[in-house]
Amino acid sequence: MSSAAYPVTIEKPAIQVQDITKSFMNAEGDEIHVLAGITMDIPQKEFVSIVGPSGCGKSTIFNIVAGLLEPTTGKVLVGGDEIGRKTGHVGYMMQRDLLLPWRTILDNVTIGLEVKGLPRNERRDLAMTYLERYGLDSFAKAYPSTLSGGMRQRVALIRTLVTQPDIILLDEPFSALDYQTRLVLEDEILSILKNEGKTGVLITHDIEEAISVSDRVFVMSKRPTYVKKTYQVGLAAEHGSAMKARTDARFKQFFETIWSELDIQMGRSS
Amino acid sequence: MENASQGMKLQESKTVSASQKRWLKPQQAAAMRQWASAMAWRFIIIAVIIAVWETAVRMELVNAFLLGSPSAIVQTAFSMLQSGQLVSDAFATVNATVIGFVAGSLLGSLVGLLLWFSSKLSRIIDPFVVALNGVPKIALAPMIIIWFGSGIFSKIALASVATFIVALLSAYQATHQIDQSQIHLMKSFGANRGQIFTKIIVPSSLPWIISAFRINIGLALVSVVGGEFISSNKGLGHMIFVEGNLFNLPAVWVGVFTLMLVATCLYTCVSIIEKKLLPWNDSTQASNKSAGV
Repeated sequence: MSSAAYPVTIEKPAIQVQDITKSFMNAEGDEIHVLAGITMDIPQKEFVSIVGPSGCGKSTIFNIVAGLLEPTTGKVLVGGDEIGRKTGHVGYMMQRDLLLPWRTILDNVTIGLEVKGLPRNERRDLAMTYLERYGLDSFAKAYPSTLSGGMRQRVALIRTLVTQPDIILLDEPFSALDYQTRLVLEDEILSILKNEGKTGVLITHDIEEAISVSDRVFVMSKRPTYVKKTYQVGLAAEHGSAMKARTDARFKQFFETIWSELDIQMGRSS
Repeated sequence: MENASQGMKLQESKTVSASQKRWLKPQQAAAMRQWASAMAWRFIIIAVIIAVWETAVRMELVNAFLLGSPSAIVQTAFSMLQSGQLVSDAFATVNATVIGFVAGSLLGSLVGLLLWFSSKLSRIIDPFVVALNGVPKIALAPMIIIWFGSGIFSKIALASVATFIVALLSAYQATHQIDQSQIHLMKSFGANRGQIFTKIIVPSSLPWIISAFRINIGLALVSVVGGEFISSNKGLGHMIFVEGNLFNLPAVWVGVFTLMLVATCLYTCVSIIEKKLLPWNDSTQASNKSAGV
């Protein structure tokens, strides 16, 4: 099954990040270089992770890919087209679930479809289909405040899925959850994205998480950020589960290699 | 690949509703008991004050002319109710307060919200708004009475001006409390500014706007009564002012107590509206903190 999910011939990459740089002005008027020329090819239907020290501008990369920020130089192609200032071409899942407290679960899930102008009945039907598929339909009329953190993140994922993007960006979506919930949710989200045939890009500072779920891991440098190294991992694909990937003998090796990559940098900077 | 829905089966739905049933009821009963006991104490306090006051007046320990007495106040209240004067004065005051409050609060909130669209404009007018907010609104009364006359319109205008500024400021500040990632999320769906405004900015500002309403209902009443002191032919403020000049203390007390009643009623109305508008702000939040996966 896993071999069928990974075509050998690489088609057009889902996302092509071509030598993007980004600088900001800080309050004193100094120029701060955040991204120092990043190039990444993310193949279709792969699940890749971006790991790097905190504050290295990982979220800036996402904001550029999502079209929320313009790079200072360079360009981003999604499905072969340059995105420019366009938005709405990728699904975005953030650190916090950002569910709207005044909307029920169903109405939270439909918000993306509302924005896209789908008629009320159609968006409700579509949302209910997804909620049923992932066992959350009994909460459709509940308010977010009555759900646990793990369930709220599931709803956030479904809110992203119903808009049917081909690419989903995940910006540390597990970091606010407790350890057990995180393990279960990593596994679930990975299998959901694989089932739905999506390309997933995960930002995380948790190396174990990155190794256990990813086909490919990009290790970033400290600021100004560039891609330091790329690893082909694929343990989750081989075992069919992120949880089982953690038991693989190579898991530890990957961890040590990637850890030392990050470690050297921290040593160098301090 | 495993069937994803299997991993998503959730067992906690049952335990949640069960636990809600178990502890909501005793909590409500306890709240009822607390309320009843507080009410009983309030009546006792009022009864004691009235008894002491009346006794002190009867025994001539205090001057009845300068302080009035409970029995005289009740008598005056009855005769004013019979003549219809009290009701018509109270109505005039409530009328001006409510109209001024609604007009000023709604208009102010609307302008404050719309300022979200232009950070440039809001930066420019910011000091003006702050300066206006600093002025005690009653200082505008002589001007407003010159422009609008001594009838109800000047009172409405006073209440509107007072509430407009507060509503504008709190609505404007509320739009700046909004989480930037929430806006990013909406943009990632392809939302335009209008959609972000109606779906995010307005609803998430509502709690702030409505808490300004609570301040504003008091401000509106103060402005109307203040305006009535200065120039009017009707209203509770007018009545208190006139009777005070006549040293008719029982009538002044009737006015003051009626104002208390009016203020309490108006405040309660606003609180009820708040509950109706913000149902998600309910106390149900605590029920699910512990739930894991």
